[in-house]
Amino acid sequence: MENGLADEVLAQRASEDGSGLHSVETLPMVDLGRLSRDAVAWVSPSVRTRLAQYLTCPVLPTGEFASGCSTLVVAGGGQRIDFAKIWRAEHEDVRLVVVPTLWGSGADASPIAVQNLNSGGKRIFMGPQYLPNVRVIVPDLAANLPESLARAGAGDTWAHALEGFTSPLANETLRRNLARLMNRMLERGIRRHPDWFDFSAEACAGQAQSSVGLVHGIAHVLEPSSAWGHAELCRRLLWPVFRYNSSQSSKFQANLREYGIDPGDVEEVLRALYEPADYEVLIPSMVERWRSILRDPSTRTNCTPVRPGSLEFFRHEVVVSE
Amino acid sequence: MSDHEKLKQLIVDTFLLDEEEFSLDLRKDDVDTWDSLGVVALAVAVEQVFGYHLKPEEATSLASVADLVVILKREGVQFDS
Repeated sequence: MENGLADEVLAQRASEDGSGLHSVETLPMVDLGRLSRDAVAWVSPSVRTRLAQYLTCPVLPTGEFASGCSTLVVAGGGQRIDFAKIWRAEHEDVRLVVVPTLWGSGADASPIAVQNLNSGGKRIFMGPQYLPNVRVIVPDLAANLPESLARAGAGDTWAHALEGFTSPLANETLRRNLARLMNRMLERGIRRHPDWFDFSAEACAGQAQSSVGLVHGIAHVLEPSSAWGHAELCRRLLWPVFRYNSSQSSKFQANLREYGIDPGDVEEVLRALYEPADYEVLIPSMVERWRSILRDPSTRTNCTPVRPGSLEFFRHEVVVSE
Repeated sequence: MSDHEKLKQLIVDTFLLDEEEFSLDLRKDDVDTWDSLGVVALAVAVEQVFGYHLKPEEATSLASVADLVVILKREGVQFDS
């Protein structure tokens, strides 16, 4: 797609939601003590003990604040960070410091916050007011992350990077940046390494400049009724959608090669994240919700057309057993 | 499949219409899915089906299916009369 059309669509979206290219300062772990002066913290129970040596402020239940404090430190995954971002937008004089304990959503560096509603839907907030002021990476949190969460987070990160790159709304600069990112991700591999915090943030920032595609379109629709969360769904859908896009257009893999990415290497990683038995569990829901999947905004910006008849590929042409 | 049939399927699939809703007179204003994302999806589909890269000003100025036919005919696509 020519940049002119993409630019026009993106400008319209930016004016509608106030999103745009912003950045969050990243500081090393050693600064966490200084940053948590005159602060309170909301901390995921799973890392409370590990972070106690770095935080100098009281830890309160998430949602509680102490009047007079100037800083809120939040350590957790995307949901806890997004909750804090939404809260802070209503308390503009509070500085928000985030310590991501998971990778995948990129919430720690994104001007987007997602609120899960009791109805099962989501409410999306966008704008510079939802950007944290500072993010702090604690390498120890990567090393101790459960393997399943590391794989799911890698899946979410790959979905953002790959779909952001292939989006018809991506321009050449963004593609170059995301191509470099994906090659770094390939080099690092799927493992518990703190580099994945930055991969996740960059991938999220990248797709915010273009769009996502069918992986997210399916995940968005299936999430409310799935036992798996967003990242787990993305992980399981990446390879089937990669195969679908490859089947629809030779340009899909050609674009990757044009920017120095070996599609075979990418497919190998995505295949390693895929689990045939789990995919088979998803198919009935995909069949039932296919019309909703087609209408999801993410599906509508997929890099290849997704049609009513495309469902047959996902039902019959993806390997579902070894 | 004739070019007319390809066009019909493209419009129906892109804008998630029932087949009976298609006509060459179909207007953008009458289709709720013919929004900015619909324009993106249409451009992707036109390139895949007809091999033509819609220019930005062409894609955003389309007001009807008939407008698209004019462009595609200019690019050599043959539609049944």
